[in-house]
Amino acid sequence: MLEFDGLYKAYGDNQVLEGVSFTVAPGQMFGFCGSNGAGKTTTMRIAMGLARADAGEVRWLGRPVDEAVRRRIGYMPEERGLYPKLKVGEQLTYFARLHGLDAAPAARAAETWAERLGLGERRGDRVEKLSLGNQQRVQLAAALVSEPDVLILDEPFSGLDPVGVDSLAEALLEQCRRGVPVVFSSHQLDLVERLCDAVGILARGKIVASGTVGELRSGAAGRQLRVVAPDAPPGWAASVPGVRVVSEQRADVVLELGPGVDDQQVLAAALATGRVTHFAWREPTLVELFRGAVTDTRAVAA
Amino acid sequence: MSTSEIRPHTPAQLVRLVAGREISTRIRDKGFLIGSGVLIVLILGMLVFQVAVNSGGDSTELGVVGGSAAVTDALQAQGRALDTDVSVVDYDDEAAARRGVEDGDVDAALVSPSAAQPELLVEKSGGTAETLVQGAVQGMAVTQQLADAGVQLQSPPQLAVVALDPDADADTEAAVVALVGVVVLYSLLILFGQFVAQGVVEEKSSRVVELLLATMRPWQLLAGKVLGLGLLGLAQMLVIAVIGVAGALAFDVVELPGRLIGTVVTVVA
Repeated sequence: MLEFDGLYKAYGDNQVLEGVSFTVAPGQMFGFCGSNGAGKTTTMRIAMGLARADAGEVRWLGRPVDEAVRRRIGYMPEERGLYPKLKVGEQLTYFARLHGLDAAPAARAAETWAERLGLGERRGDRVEKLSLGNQQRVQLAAALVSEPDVLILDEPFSGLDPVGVDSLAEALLEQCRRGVPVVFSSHQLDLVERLCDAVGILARGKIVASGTVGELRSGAAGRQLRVVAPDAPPGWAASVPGVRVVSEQRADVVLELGPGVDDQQVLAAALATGRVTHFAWREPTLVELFRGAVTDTRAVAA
Repeated sequence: MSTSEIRPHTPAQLVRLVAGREISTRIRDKGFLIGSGVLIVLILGMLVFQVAVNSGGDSTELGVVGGSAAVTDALQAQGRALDTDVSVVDYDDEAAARRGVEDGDVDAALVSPSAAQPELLVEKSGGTAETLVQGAVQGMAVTQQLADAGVQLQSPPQLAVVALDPDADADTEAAVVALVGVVVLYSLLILFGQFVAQGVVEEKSSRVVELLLATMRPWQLLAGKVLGLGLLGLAQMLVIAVIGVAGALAFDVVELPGRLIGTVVTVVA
């Protein structure tokens, strides 16, 4: 378990974190969302020991994260950092060695990771000669090259083309399958929704929502059910108890169910009218959840 | 890959890793290589310059029209007194001598040295050739007049020289070597101090330091840098010292090689 427990951090008068807590299980992919300046980067920097929390701590396997643990964390900072004049292969080998690999395995790992992130041919090039997207891949490879036990990635997908996104996503999913907890922050919520088992939404220094995407959805107010029953007479749905009709366009109705109302009851009522061609919950997208969560706290704060 | 291949580093290992990277990057850096090359060329150039300045001192080429062995002897003796090597070229007539001076084949030409009114042809007046020839002609005239007066000249006694401080030269030499060594050492120290500062700034500005600090403590990073660059600087210093000493010995610039090496070793150490 990677636990972030009650982190507080203030820069001067600016209270950045106000008790950020969440846990990431081994093999879980945790998407860290939040508006700009919400404190995502600060949280990750605290985990890496680059900033000191005013209160709270980060634990891995029940022990506070220290030097030794950090060496087993693959980290990708928000501000990219590589030696501009060092060749890609040497760079990766160096980082692998810093994380505890011997010379030969480090060189092997560097080669493997360069290959897997599509940098095979650029291994002998200096980093400063690569395009920004490719530098990004090198940065990722630097985080992954030591086969870390934990991955903390700050905006790993920004600046990548769709192919790069796919190869990175594949690499991250593989790390998850290996049992590595992965925390990454991103503004690309569709990506977070697609990849992550769990999501944390940070707003104003607090986690305002966290859990699996499914949990977030079920917790969201106003779940809507869309039913298409071509043969049904207009107004059939209104007769079902506890159901409010949101919209009705010919046979296509969107319903909102009151608390405790069984959706099967609605289905039965629909079937009674004849054929039913569509019956599904309209899942709110993560974008909608995010908006809801962030605006809620704004309202509270204001 | 299995986790068994991964062992945590000791601080010493981390420092060594950082130092290794510093050395391997710096040693392939064009600026560093060119700088070292220039320094070595400079030292060799200084040696060659020394050799050029020391060897031979001055030499004077004199043309003579209507000369004799006595004239040549007198000119060369005067040359020794003025610390210059005199070589005498015989010309058949004044016109040839004039050409020789104009073409720069000789520094000056002496016409009819034994006559009552000897003439010296020079490109322009002044210079050692004039003094030299004046002295030689005077000497010859005096000898001639003495001989005419019937005075028998005895050769003067040879002077015995006793040096009270034969090492004075070597001391100066050692001082010069020490001075050069200290100057080189000083500039290298400044240079490598700058390298360390530069490296820190580079890591800071390229943000790579965030990745590094996740794996080690700041002192380990700095220690690795200082150690790596220090070793590199020492190696460069040794190369320069070896080339300088070897060059000095090869060109025969110094008189006491043993003392030179001793001084260099003291400076480096």
